[in-house]
Amino acid sequence: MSSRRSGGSRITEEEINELIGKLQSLLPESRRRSMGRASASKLLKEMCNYIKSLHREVDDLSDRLSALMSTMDRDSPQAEIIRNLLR
Amino acid sequence: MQPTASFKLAFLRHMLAGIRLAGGVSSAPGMSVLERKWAIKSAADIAMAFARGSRTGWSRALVADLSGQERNRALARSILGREQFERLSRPAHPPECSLLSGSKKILRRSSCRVRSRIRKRPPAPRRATSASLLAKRMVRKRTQVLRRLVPGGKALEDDASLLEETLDYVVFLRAQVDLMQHLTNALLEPSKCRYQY
Repeated sequence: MSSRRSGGSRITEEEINELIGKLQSLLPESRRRSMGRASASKLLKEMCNYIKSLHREVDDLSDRLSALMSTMDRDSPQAEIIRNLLR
Repeated sequence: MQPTASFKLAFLRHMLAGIRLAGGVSSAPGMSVLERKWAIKSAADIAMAFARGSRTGWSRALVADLSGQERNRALARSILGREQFERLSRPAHPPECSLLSGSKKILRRSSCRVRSRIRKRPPAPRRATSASLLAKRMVRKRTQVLRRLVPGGKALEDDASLLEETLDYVVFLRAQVDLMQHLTNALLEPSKCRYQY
């Protein structure tokens, strides 16, 4: 991480605004639009929702991969792909 | 910091190792669907944390959380290999922030501080709340939620560190989703697999 604060230094308004700006640009366009006028509290809310949705996607993809694996056997083309990728 | 090609490759390599170990029907025939799902999810988190390295709080916290359970430790050791697993579990530089004991220290310190803060502050008098006071409360409340969502967030002492960690974490969380999606697509339609590293 680029900046590590020492115990006693105060975080400037400018630094916080910069971070908030960066967080805002991380949000996908659709979420940014639904935010309307940006405020710290709205941004945090959107960020939390976004992270939760990403977690759900990982969970969902794990389900799908697990289902895929269950149908795979040693001789299937998928198993071959995995073996090749691991070589 | 953006996900580099080396991150993506490291992630995929370890993800695949995890899938092979815990996912394949032939390698783990007795596994239930739920166990397989958990193993794949753990493999994805281990792969993400390891590919990111030990320089971010969230990746260290993820490994610490995952290592908490013996079954995860065994999986991590198999995916990463004993040497790399030991390296990731070893104290990150500077030496004083050791992975598990360090984060426990920080947690203890911050919880002590919270406790003493609660004791010292008198109960807030009830009065008409101004818009700015309400906004501050909302920010505080939502910051708490964010702390729970970002690995290691609860141990971070100031909000700016939390925001920095969040920035990094979201970028790589997105990469994790993206890579898992590509992996799934590749397995579903191997002929159409086309991925740019």
